[in-house]
Amino acid sequence: MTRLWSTGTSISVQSDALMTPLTFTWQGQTHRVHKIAKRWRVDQDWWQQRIWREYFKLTTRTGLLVIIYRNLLTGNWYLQRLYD
Amino acid sequence: MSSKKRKRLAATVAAIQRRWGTKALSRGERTLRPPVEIPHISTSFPSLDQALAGIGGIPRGRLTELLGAPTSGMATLALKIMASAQPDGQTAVYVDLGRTFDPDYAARCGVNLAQFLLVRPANGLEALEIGHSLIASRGAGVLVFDAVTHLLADPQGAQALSMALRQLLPVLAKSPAVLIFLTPLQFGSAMSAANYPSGFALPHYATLRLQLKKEKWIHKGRDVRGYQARVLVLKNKLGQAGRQATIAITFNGVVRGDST
Amino acid sequence: MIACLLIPYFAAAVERQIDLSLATTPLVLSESRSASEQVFAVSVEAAQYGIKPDMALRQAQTLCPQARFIPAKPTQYQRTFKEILSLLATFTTKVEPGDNQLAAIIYSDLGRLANTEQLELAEYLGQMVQERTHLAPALGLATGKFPAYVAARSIGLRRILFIAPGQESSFLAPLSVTHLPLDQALMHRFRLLGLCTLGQLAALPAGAVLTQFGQHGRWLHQLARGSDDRPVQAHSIPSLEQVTHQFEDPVSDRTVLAALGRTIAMELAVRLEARGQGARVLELILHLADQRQWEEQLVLRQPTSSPDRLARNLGGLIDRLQLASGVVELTVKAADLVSIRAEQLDLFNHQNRAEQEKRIYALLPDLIARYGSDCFAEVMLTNQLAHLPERRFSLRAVEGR
Repeated sequence: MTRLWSTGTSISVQSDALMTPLTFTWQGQTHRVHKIAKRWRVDQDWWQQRIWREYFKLTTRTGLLVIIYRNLLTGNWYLQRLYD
Repeated sequence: MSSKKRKRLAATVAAIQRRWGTKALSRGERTLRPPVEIPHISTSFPSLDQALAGIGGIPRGRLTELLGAPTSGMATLALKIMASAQPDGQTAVYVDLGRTFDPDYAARCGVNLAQFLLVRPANGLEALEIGHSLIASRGAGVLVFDAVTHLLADPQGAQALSMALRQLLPVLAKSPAVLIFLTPLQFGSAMSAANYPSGFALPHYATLRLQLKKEKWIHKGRDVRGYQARVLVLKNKLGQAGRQATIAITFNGVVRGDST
Repeated sequence: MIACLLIPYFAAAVERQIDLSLATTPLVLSESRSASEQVFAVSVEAAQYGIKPDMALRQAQTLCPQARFIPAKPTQYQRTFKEILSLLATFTTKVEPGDNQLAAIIYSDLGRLANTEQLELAEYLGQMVQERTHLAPALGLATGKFPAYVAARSIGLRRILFIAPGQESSFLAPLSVTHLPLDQALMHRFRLLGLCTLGQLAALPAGAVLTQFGQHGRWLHQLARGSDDRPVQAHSIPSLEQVTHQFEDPVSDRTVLAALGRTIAMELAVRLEARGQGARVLELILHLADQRQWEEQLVLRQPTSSPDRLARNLGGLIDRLQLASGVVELTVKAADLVSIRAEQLDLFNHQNRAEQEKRIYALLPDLIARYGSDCFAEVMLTNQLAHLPERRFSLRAVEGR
C-alpha cells in the first residue's frame, strides 16, 4: 500500500539550487535521496484556493520509495505518500 | 557402547531428571496423524502460500503479525490478503490508527471497497475493543490493525493492551475471521526489542509472524514501478518456521503481486 | 546453524526473580536427601567459595557462613525451564535441553537462514525468553552444538556470540580444555601432558589421540577442532497444560480448594484457547502434609476449553476428595489435547455475504454510540485519475442498517 497523508505531513528538506531534494528528515530520521524517479507539477483550483505543488517520486538510501512535494506558494515541504 | 559409558550416561540422565523433571530428556516421536486442514485464506502469492507450511495461507481464527520496515511491502501484502478474502463475500475491516489508509491504492490492490469498513479509533485500547466486537459478531472476514506502533502509544500502556489482546483471542478462535497486525519496524535491526516494550505479548500470541524485506527495485526506464521483497516466516505455530518466499509488487494502474 | 541458549546458575536465577532481595547475596539452595541436607544448586557468588551441588549442607555452611540458605523449589525451576523450552519450540521443532548441573542449556536448530537472519532470530529468541521469564540468557551461534555452547559460555548475559562457519577452530583454540565434557581422570591426564587449551589438543595428530585416549578422546579431539555433527534432537512438546499451586500452610477447607480450582480453570481455559485446543482429560494431583499423594482423573465426554466446563468438572473432582491431612500442593493437568478448530469450517460454510453484512451493520449503531460516528467510515472512489491523491476518494459516515 502507499501510506497516504491526505494533506501531507510536514518534513524538512535540504535541496540544491534547482530545488531538487537531496535529503529530508521525517520522524527524526534523515533520509538521503538516492534517485528521483519522477518529477511533476500540479497547478489547479486557481479560482478557489490555488494548489500549486511540485512533486517528486524518489527512492532513498534508507530503502524508502516516497512521494514528497513542495508547496510552491509557501515553500514548505511535505511527505504525501510512502510505498509499503 | 561400553558398560562404563552406559553407567556414566545413566548417571547424567538421572541427574538431569532430578533437576529438570522426567520429561526434560524425553525424545518422543511425534505421533503421526493425518494432516488436518487448517481453515485459511490465500496470501495471493503462491510461493508464499507454499512457504506457510502446515497451513497454505493465512489461518482463520488466529492472529497473524506482519513485520517490515517502511517500503518492505508489508501493507501491500495485508491489502492483497484482504482482497483475497473478499470474493467469498466477506467484509474487510481496516483499523487505521495512523490515519494513512489509501483507498485508491487499496482498490488497485483488488480490495472491493463496497465490502469494506474503515475504522479510525481514538486510541489503541478502543481499537482492540472495537476489533473484539466486530470479531465476536462474526460479521468480519478479515481485520487488519495498522499499526502496532500506534497501538502501543496508548496511554494505558502495553500491559493493558496485552490484557485486551488476551481477551480477544478466545473470541477469535471461535470465529472465521483472519486477524492481522502490522508492525512497522524501525530502521536498522529487523527485530529490535525496542519495537516491543516489555509486557506486550503480541509476538507470543501470534500464530504466524512474517517479516518482509525489500530486496530490489523494479524499474521501467527511470521510474520505479515496483519492488521485489523477501518474506521470512519467523514463527509458525501450525508448521515449520524459517521458510522464505520472494514476492514482487508492481504498480502500473493496478497493483500486481507475483511470486518469483 | 545451532543456537545455544544458556542461563548460568539457573535455579538461583529463578529464585532471584521470585525474591529480589536475594540479588547479590551468595545463595545456596538445599534439599533433603536420605535424611541429610545437601546442596541442590548455588549462585555464582556461592560457587566462588567452592560450594558445589551434592555437597553436604554443613560443609557449605562452613565454606560460606554469610550465604543465604533456602530450600530449593525444583517444581518451580522445572516449570520455568519448560516454559523456555516451549517458547523456543514455537520457532523450531528441533529444540533440545542440554545437560548441565547448574545452568539451563537449550539447543535450537535454526536451520538454513542467511547469517544476518540467524543472528536476528537468535537475538529475538533471547529477548523473548528474557521478556517472558525475566531471566537473562547468553546465546552462542555456531554450526555445531559444542562451539555454540562454548560461544554462549564465553559471552556475557544478554549477549550473542556468532561463530561464522569455518571459524570454529580458531575461536576455540585459545580456550581452556575445561569446556570439554571431561571426567576427573581425563582432566588430570590432560594436565600432566600439558594440554591446557583446546588448540593444543586440536593440534595433536588424530591417530595419537586415539591411541592415548581411546574413542572418547578422539571425539573430544574433534570437538576441540570445532567439529561437532551431533544433531539437535527434537524435543516433544507436551500435550498438556498444567497449573500448580503451593500453599504456605496445609489447607483442608474444601471451599478454599474449590475457589482455587475455579481460578485454575480460568487460567487453563485461557491457555487452551490460545492453543486452539480443548482438553479431553482433567487430572487433579494433591500433595498432602502427611507426605502422601492423592490423584484423580476425569475423562470428559467432549474436549473443552470452556472455563465454565473446566471449573465445573474440576469442582466435581474436588468434591470427591477424602482428605486425611491438609493439602500443601495442588496440581491440575488438562491433558489429551485436541484441536477444536474443525467446527470453524462448518461455521464459515454456512455464512453468506448478506448474512455477514447484516451482522456488522446491526452492531454498528452500538459501536457508533460508544465510540462516536467519526470512528467508522465507508470509502468511495470518486476520481482515480485525479492529480491530487487526496481527491481520488471520499469517506462517508456509516449508518447502521
